[in-house]
Amino acid sequence: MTKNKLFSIVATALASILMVFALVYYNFIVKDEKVDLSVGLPCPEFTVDTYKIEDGKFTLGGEPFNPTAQRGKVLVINFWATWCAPCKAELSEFDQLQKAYPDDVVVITLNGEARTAENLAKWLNEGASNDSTPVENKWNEFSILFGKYDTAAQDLYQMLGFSSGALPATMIVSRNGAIAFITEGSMHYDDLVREVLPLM
Amino acid sequence: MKKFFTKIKDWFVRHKPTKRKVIQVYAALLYNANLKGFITGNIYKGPTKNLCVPGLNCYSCPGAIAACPLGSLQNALSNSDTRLPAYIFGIIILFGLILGRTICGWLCPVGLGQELLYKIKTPKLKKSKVTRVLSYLKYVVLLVLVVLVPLLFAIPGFCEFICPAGTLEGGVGLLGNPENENLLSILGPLFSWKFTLLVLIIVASIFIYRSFCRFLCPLGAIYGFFSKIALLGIKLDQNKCTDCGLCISACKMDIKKVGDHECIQCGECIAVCPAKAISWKGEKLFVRGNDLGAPLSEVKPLNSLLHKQEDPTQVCVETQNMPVEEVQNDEK
Repeated sequence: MTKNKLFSIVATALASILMVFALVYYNFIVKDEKVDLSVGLPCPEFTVDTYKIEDGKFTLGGEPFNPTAQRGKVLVINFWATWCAPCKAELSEFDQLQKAYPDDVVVITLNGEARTAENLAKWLNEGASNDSTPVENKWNEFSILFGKYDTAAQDLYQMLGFSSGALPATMIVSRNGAIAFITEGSMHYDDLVREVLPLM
Repeated sequence: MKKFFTKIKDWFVRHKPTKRKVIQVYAALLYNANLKGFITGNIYKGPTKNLCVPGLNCYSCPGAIAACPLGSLQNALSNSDTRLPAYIFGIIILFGLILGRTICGWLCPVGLGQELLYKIKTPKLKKSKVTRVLSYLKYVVLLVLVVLVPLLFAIPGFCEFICPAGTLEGGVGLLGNPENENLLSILGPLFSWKFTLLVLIIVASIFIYRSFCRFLCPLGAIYGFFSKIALLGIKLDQNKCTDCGLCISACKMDIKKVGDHECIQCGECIAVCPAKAISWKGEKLFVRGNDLGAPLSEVKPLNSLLHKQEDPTQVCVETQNMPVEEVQNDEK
């Protein structure tokens, strides 16, 4: 047997083993993981409790937020935390968007601190005024929705594939429920308008 | 009855796939080994998706097990800010250095698709000065859509506006699946444009050999930069070459000479060359006994190397030429 023949037999054998392994591995061994979300996929079903403002005070007990119930409007879902200065700074700009297009856009911001999920109302009512990051509006003048960060919101955050703890983070859902935009990092009013207007 | 079977056998003998076709089909299947994705409509997002395959194969193809180097490059450039996307640069340079445009000829599913389309029996458009000029268009595409647009506007320009592999695999392959029906609503005018372009390229490929590769593919343009130095590929022995030009007229690509940046290293010119001047690089590693007229030791005794202080490459050339000269002498 010549060196060449031996070589081609070995190469063919190795290639066949690789192909068989790949076909078996990808089709039978790899489990279909939880479908990660990306632009173009439908926004998953979830429900979060929201805060409402009564007499200028936040209380938990607003109408629960469900993306499916908001079909026909562009959804802007934002993640923030009280310790995150850029998050707080951009909330005013989100509010500006909500006030500019009250009938076409729903902006909800989910507070990504499990620690203060229950106490967010307290922070919004008391802590916010002593906060080092000045916010353009008073907190109780915001017209965006504040959502409670529960497991549904947590799952959503993870499924969107944000690097762990990255805030602020934002996703935009089109009127028919498809995810149109996902980003980590600050969004300014211009960015928001640029992404949201074509979806209206 | 017997005649019928011999006819079938003859057909198979005549249509026996070449080694290159087998490797092309193998590569296309390996890149898209996640076959269940075509049924479920889910793309694979596991650990091997962080790697790149050498050829053009869309990340969003339901079967894709790894990323597209061109798509990764554009995404890396759009997100790089001031950082150098070292990983993707490294992997493309690595592919270029080892394989060069051998990837185009042997490992690219898009190339395979176009070659199969070209098999449809129609009058063909031969290469000319016009196609030669058009072949430089891919460098414009590379510069504008793969480098400048991602850097300036943070948009993966080629993927977004041109890539027919993306339209076919990611668009038609993924969205054509009934499971993803609800995604159809997000298709906009951009998809109409890309779909039109895909149809145009498919039709063009029937009449023009590898039309997308020759005129548009920026990945081929990148690998073309490595043609001269890639470890694998074909090489031309200038000492044997008689400048007859048969190789260039037989070649369906817009080459000016064998192994230049347009050459996809398919090796089809090796059989065409009457002087046997074209060979595979690194062929010496797997020398066939009958390729040499006599054992090397007889042609050039080893100890003669010790006495002469010559450039070792020169010696190699001499030893190679020896048997040929001997044959010529015999003929006289």
